[in-house]
Amino acid sequence: MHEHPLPRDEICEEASHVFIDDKKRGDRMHCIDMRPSANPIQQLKTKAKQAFLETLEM
Amino acid sequence: MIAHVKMLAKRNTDDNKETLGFIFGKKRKDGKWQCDTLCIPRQWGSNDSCGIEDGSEAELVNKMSKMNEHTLIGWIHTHPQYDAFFSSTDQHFQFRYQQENALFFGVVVSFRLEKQGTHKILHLTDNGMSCVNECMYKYDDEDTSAGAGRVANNNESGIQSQRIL
Repeated sequence: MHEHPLPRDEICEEASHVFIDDKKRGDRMHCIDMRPSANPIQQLKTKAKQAFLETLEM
Repeated sequence: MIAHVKMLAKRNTDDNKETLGFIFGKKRKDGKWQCDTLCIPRQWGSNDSCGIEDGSEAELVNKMSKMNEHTLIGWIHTHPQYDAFFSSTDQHFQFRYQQENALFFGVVVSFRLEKQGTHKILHLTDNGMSCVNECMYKYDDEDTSAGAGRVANNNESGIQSQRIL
């Protein structure tokens, strides 16, 4: 971590061109969660596969 | 969308870790952009940094190449114990994308006690872009560089790939 020479409010500003309406209902939002914690079954499969491969290596 | 991120980030936030996501959208007929897709990559996080895991970028490319008309237009991350602002590392992250797309923005959600769940939507000013560009520290040189990767960006001319730090 380091600091830049300009004050933070000179480097960044609110992006006024963006408006996120979180209260609006009915809009479809897609969420792609690729984290292993989002798919515990896949997580188990991956662990089982790893264990199997380790067994083969032995 | 932000409410959804707060929910997805809860476990990390409880563990005092940042959570990272990418925001994709498509251009509407009236010329405005609609953010309608959130992608949470496989990632690592600490109390003051986060990044995508090695290998996760290929998955992102694969997923996004199947979503026509969608473009990477922003990113979102949480600050479990700080206010909603761009740290110097965040500024470098933002810089790389804003260089490619002037509309690119970053959302920071703060979970600091008195600011529970408040957020800011930020981008770099012209002065900020120059300042970060001239900075001798490059993102890759920092301890958060494990977030290196690539992601697909669909636009009118087809699929492009963009460097993700």
